[in-house]
Amino acid sequence: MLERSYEKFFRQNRLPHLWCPGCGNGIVMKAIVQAIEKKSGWTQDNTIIVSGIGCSSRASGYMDFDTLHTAHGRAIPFATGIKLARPELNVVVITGDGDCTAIGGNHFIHGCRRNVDLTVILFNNNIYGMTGGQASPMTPLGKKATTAPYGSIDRPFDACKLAEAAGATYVARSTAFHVQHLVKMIEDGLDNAGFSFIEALVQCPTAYGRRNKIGEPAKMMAWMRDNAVMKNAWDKLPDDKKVGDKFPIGLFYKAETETYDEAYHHVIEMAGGAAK
Amino acid sequence: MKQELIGYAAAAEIPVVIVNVQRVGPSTGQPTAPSQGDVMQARWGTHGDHSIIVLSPWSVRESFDLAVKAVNYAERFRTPVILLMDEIVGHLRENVELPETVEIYPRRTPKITRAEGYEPYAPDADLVPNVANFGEGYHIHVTGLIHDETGFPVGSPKITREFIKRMHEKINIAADEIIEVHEEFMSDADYAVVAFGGTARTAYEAVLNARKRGVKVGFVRLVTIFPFADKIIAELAKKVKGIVVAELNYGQIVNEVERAAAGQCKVELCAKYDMTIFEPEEIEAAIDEVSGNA
Ligand SMILES: Cc1ncc(C[n+]2csc(CCOP(=O)(O)OP(=O)(O)O)c2C)c(N)n1
Ligand code: SF4
Ligand SMILES: [Mg+2]
Repeated sequence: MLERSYEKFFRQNRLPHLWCPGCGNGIVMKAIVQAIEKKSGWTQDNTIIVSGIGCSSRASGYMDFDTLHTAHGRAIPFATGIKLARPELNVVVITGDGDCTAIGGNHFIHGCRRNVDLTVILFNNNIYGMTGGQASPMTPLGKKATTAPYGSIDRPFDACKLAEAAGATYVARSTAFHVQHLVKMIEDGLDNAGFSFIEALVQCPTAYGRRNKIGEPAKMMAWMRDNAVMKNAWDKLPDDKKVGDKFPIGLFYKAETETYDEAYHHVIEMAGGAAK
Repeated sequence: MKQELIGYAAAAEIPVVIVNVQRVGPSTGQPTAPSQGDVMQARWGTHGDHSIIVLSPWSVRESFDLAVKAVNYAERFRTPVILLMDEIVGHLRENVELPETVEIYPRRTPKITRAEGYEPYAPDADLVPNVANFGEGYHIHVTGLIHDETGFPVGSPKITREFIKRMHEKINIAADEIIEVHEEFMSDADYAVVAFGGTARTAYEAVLNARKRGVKVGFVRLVTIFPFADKIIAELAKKVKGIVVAELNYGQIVNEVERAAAGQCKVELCAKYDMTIFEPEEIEAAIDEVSGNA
C-alpha cells in the first residue's frame, strides 16, 4: 500500500471537506502537497498558501501551512504582497476559473507581466461552482450555465495562452485525471523562479456536469482521459485532428528572466534600504 | 468595489492605513477640485457592520503626525485606519520640522506557543487578538469569513454575534483615547464652529475675525472623525447656544453633530459644494446668523 505521507500536510481537524462527492478539487489539492513534499527546502513553515473565493479556494483552509483565504479575485495581489515583504517565503496561489479570469483577470495578467515569483494553480471546472453554476470566462462555447440557459455565446479564454502572452515564465496544463502528470507540472512550476501558472482541469459534477448532461464524475474524468493530448503529440497532430473536445496538456512555455521580487529589492537597495 | 478589502482588513484584523485625499464627486466629478464629500464613505464605504478609525489632518506637519498615529492605531487595534485628507491639505506646502524619531507601536505577537494552545484570533484583554506573522511556524488561517478564535470559519449565530460585537467594542472601549479634538477660544464661548481638515483653516480665520468684532465664538476642530466625538459634542452643546458646522459637502458630519448635540443647542450647517473652498466671510456670515448678529 502506498504510504500516506501527504497526510501531515492537512489539518485533520478541518476535514471532511465541504466539496460535493465526486468533485475534482480534492485531487488537485492533494497533487499540490505531493509536489511540495518533493521540493527540498519547502516546509510547512516557510510555504504560504493563498487563495481567492470559490469552491476551489476553500482548499487553503484544509492545508496545514500559514494560509490566507482572501477576497474574490484578489489572491494574486495578496500573494504579491507576501512575496515582496518576505521574499524568503514560498508562495502558492489557489484560484478558480471565475476567480482568476473574471473578477481577478487584471490581477492575473499583471502578476504574469511582473513575473512575481509565485506558483498559481487554477482549478478549472469551467463554471462558477460555489454560487451554483453561472458562466465563467472559461465556460466553453455552447455549454449551459444558469446565466447561459441556451448555451454560452461568450468565447472562452485559454488561460494558458493568456498567461504566456502576459509574461508568465512557466505555463502548463494538466487534469484531475492525469494525477502523476499534474504533480509533475506543479513540481516544475514550484521550481521555476518567477510567475508559474498551472491550469488543472477539474470535474464539477454538481454545477457544470449535471446541467450539461455530461454525467457522473467518473464520466467527466473519462472525458479528460479521452480528450487530453500530451503537448508533444498535440504539436504533431494535423489541424484537422485538433477538433472536437481535444485539448493539449503539458508544459507550454518556460523562460528565464528577472523576477519582480528581485527587481524590487534592487530598488530598495538603490533607495538606501535594507539589502536582501 | 475596492473598498471590499477595507472590510477584509476589518474582519481578518489586518493592520492597514488608507489615505483618501478627497475631491469633488460623485463619479469622476470635478477632478481634482476640493471637497469633503467622503466622510460617510470613510465610515461605511465597505459593506457590513464594521468599526473603523478615521483621522483628518489640517496641516502638513499634522499629516505627518497623523500618518504615524494611523500606523500605530492600525497595529494596536489590528484595524483599517483611514487618513481622510482633502485637496486643500493634500496640495499644501508648508515648512515643517520633522522629528528625528517617531513612536512606533510594536507588531503584536503571540504570547503563547502552538503547543500551549495558541489561537490567533483569541482576544487579549483589550479585545484585540495577537495574530502571528506568516512564516513563523504557527500555521494560522486568515479569512474574511466570520471565524472563531482559531481563525477558521464557523456558521454559528453565537460566534457571529460575538465577532461583530468585538469588532466594534475593541474600538469603543478605547474611544476616549482615540478621539482627539482641537479647541480654541472656548473658555468664554457662547457659540462654536465645528470643522475638520482644510476647512478648519478657513474656520479658524473666521473665528478670529468674528472675535475681533466681539462675537464670543469658539473653534472646535475634529482631528478624529471616527469614532465620533459624541461626549465632547454633547458637552459642547450644553455649554453654547449654537454650533455652526462648516464642511465642503451637502451636509455629512453635521448629522453626527446634531445626533450628539441631541437638541441641547442650535446646530446650523454651513455647506459648500461648488469646487471652491470656503472664504472666511462665508463662515463668519454663518456665525453671525446663528448668533443673531446678522
Ligand atoms: C466581489 C464578489 N463578487 C461575487 C462573489 C460571489 N462568488 C463567490 S464564489 C464565486 C465564483 C467562484 O467561481 P470560481 O472562481 O470558478 O470557483 P469555483 O467555485 O468554481 O471553484 C462568486 C461569483 C463574491 N464572493 N465576491
Ligand atoms: S459545486 Fe462543483 S466545484 Fe463546487 S464542490 Fe460541488 S462539485 Fe466541486
Ligand atoms: Mg470554477
